[in-house]
Amino acid sequence: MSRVIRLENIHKSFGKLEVLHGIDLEVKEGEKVVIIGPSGSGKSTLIRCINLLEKPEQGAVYVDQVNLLSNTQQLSRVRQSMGMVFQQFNLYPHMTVLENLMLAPMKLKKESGEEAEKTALVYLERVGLQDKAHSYPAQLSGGQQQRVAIARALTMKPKIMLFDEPTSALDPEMIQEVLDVMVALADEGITMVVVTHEMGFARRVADRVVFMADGKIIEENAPEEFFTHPQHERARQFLSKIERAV
Amino acid sequence: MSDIFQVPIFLFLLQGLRVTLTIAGAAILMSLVFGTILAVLRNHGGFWGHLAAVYIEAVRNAPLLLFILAFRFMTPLPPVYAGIVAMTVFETAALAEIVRGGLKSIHKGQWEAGATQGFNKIQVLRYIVLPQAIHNVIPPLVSQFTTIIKDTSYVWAVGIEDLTGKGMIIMGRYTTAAQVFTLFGLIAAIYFVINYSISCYARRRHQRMAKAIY
Repeated sequence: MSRVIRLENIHKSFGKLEVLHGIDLEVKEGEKVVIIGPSGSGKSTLIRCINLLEKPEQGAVYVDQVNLLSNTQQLSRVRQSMGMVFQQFNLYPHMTVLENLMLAPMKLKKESGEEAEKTALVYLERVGLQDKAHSYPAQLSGGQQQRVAIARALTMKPKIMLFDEPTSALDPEMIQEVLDVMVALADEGITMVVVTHEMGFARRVADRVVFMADGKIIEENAPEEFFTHPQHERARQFLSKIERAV
Repeated sequence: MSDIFQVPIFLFLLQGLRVTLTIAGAAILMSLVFGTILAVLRNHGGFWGHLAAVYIEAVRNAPLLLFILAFRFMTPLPPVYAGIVAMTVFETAALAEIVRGGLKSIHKGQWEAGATQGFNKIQVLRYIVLPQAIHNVIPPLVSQFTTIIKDTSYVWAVGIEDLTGKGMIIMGRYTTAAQVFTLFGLIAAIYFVINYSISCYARRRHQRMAKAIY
């Protein structure tokens, strides 16, 4: 299987604070990679480097063999093939749910309104919200908004989906409905990179768990191996803290 | 008093009102366009952003009347056009600052969501950020529109016969304080009706939109 994402020696600083100290990461086509680790370990910064929402000072980001840092004119095209879901949903509040889903296909892929609406309704149905097509985001619950955000990303038919803590801003009773949608998506073979604190999801879906701490990847392994036999002290500490919380 | 409430006088004033609304309307439309461009530039920063900031600060801190006099006497433009251009140059700065406030009110996540979908900066502005930014500043924008309508009366200083100008012409026919007072009252009432209608209309629309969105 070909590698669709390749990060090489990524260094990223905010001011004087270096938050990523040389990260290498490869993701194969169809692979599900779950990134976990304590707060401030650089997980979110790392996933945001994949579509250059954060621009690393050093290193290389390849998506689909394109070096994004040196081919800036290809960035928009590559981003269209890579959906992203944020912690804060980031739906467009001035548009209805349907308009949120139709905007990018119509403006970027020049789909007709009819075509875009048809696609939008298909994806809304998949996340179970076709009856909310004409609502505004503010009229939906957090879980519903996040499902709309996932549907919005899918309408561009991306090859890769990036999830940056998609359930962290949700009330506990809404987390499951979002995870269910993500599990269904994973079963379809799309490439996924997920930053999350949901260990159940990681066990169920991940092909590989990447454990980060202090701006470095400490350990990478299959989920069963990682959760039952963590190799590094730092990973053992992290897992023991999580278990105590449960 | 009844000598003021006559049809010919009303018609005469209405002619002036047409000039007032033409100048104000054109100035509002153009300064909204230019003001939005300047707001975007200033918000973006860099060389053009600095240039926009210099323009905005320079213009905002000078009196409007000076611009009207300058464009009337230093350009070959016909009077009404000179008035429109002068008001546009001046109000562009005011509207730019209001729109910039709107831009600042938009959460960074909106920019990021647009960018990750593959929109470039101009497209994110056009489809996602500006519509929300403008919506958020409709109350101060409309308040500035009514100020523009009122400030159009300065053009009387260069002999343009707007509503106020026509009033001044009529005033030549009257002598008593009561007559002059009535005339000014009438002119003020016309300004009030127009501006108050605009404010009420804008407030109602804004509230209806806001109810749907937030």
